[in-house]
Amino acid sequence: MNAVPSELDVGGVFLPPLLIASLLGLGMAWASAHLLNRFRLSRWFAYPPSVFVALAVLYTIVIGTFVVPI
Amino acid sequence: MTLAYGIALWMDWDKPMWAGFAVAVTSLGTIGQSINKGALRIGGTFAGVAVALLLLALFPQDRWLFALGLSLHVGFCTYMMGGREGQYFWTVAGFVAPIIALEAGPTSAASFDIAVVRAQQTAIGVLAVVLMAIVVWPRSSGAAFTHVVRELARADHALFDVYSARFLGDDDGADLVARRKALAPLRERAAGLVEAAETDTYAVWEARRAWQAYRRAFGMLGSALERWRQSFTDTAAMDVRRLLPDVDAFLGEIGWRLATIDGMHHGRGPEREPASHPLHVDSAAARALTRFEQTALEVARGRLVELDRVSRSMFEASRAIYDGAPTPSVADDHFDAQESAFPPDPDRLFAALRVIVMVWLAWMMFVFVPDLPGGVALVVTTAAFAMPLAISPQIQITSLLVPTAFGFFLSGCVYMLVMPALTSFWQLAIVIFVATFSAPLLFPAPQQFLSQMMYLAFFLIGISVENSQTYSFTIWADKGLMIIFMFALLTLGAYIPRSTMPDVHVAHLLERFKNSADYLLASLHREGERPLSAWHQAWRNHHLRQIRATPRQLRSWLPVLRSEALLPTDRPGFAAMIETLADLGLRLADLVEIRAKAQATPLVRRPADDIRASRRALQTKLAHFGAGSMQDAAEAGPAMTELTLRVDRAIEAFLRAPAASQVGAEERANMYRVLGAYRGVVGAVDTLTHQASAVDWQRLREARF
Repeated sequence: MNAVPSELDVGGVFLPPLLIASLLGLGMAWASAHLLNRFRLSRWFAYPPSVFVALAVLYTIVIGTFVVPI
Repeated sequence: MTLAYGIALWMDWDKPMWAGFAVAVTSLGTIGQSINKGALRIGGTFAGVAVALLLLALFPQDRWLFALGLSLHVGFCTYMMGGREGQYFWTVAGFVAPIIALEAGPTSAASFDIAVVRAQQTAIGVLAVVLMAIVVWPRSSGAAFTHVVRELARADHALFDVYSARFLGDDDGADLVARRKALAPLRERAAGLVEAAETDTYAVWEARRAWQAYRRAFGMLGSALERWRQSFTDTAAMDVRRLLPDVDAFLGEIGWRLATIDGMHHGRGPEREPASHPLHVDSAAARALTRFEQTALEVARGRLVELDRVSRSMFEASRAIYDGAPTPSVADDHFDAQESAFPPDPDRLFAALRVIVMVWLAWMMFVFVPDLPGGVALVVTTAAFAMPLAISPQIQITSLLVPTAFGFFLSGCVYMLVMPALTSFWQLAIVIFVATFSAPLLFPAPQQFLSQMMYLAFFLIGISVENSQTYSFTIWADKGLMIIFMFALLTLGAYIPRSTMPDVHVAHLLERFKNSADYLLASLHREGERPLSAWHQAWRNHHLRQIRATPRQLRSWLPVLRSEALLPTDRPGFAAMIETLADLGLRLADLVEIRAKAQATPLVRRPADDIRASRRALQTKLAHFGAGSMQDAAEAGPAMTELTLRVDRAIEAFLRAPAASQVGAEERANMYRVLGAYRGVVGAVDTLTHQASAVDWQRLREARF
């Protein structure tokens, strides 16, 4: 995969890679939160909304590093 | 919608979608409702315009003070939206100001022109709705109102009959709570239609004062019936006919009034004037009762006397409507019915704060993010949708994603594939007509009104019809990105100043109920010594309103409570607990009121030690309510039977005191009412403790995403 950051061209609209990575990161954080709720694991966090933000950031970095270079 | 667009395009005005918005929002079921909402929209638009121009004039060179003024205005309007009157006026005044103030761009020179266009488009939209409502589809509120009022009068009479049978011990075991609940929507609908009917029905307008009195009276009747119902548990074991020898005649008279009111709504006048029947207690029969039962009987008698007063007011209001008799003065004098600006309502304050923060976040993004998608439109749309969401936090933001995405995606298809092929307005008109017509079909439930609005609003924003139409995928995609940012801000705002997640909010509501109940119980101690100051009275009334409103809010939150927080099997028990909270709220309100009115009674001025101790024990039990295991609450302080015995002992001690023989009949009745109210509170807390022990509090309170 090309590791050089490049914008995504959707019909002439150029979307920054950080936007794509962060949208994917948000989606994955949402799915993780859903699963953690489902299995009652979220009760071990002091303040889940902050954990959600942290998860979204972590996923964004991972996606930005390995999938959509940012 | 099509007509509004047609006029706006024909007049060559900018932003015809503003006329479309006005149509989408003000088009309601009847002429009166549409006119009233249209008037509120126009009024709100003018207020918003005035504030925007004022802010622009005051802070032309200072963007931070300008943003502060604008956000405070939107926050104030959000607070006012939560009030009883003119909610829609404040909504419009709130979101129109950012539109006018920001749409003109950095120079603000064109703000006045934008204000004029906005006012024109709103007026055209409202005019189109009113014209359609009057000429094409004339549907007056009068017929619907008459129908609902008749239904309500009949249902109230039927409910009274069922309650009477239960009170006298003749009933068939009907579910009284279910019957009462079935009546609540009818009562709300009748109250909501009064103003619409005044607007479009001449007969209602002519008797508007009497109708307003009637509206207050049927609200009070519902409350009086509910208070009466709550005494049934306490009088279930008594032979009421023997204890209250006149009860049949008394109830018969109230029943006759309700039946006659129903008849008056059907054009049948009363055969006679309402009579007054006494409701004496048979002293000899009452002596056989325990002290507790005597207090319960006195409380039930008080409820019936209140019902008699309210039904008479309702009768007189009906006479004023149909016979032109003088309009009676109908006022709810219960403490919790007294509106006051101080202290402010905490929910409305939180909502205002939430909106202010969201406006600031959007504003900071607009100022500091270069080429922000949507630009000022992000600030405007965020403010416009944050306001209703803040006032109704039960609406989960995720539930609005689908209608918004669908409306916007549809607009993209129409904008890029259909509109370039259109050659005349009539072809465009069909497209707009189909899109508008599909909104109620796609989101038919009344609670989906905001979904309908989101769908239509973002469809109209997406197609952005103008006379000199341009087509650009980039513009459409830019709006799409703006929507994403808007939802991100709305989601973030749902955690400020505290989370609106249903489980978190329900826990807060329970805590609030507990705190208010604790305050009221503590205030009884203060009030025993001397009358409360105006400051304390204001706080007392505030807490009374809270304990009456909180169970209603809990009912509305229950359906959105997630299954992770409350298992489906626990829901019926939780719902029953909410009803007990409502019961406890009413009983506490009664206790506070009766005590305040019986200030001269020696027992109130110098409460017995047993009464003081039982009040403190109730506070202890309530302090444990919902915290950890309810087993703690059940075990905290003395047992409920012990509390009951203490109140009993207090009565005995009072009656045996040498001064008791000098106590007059009225004071004695007051004392019984106070003690009966205590008994009611003790009983409700007992029931609550048992019901709450079945709730999995740990699951409800545990942290969750």
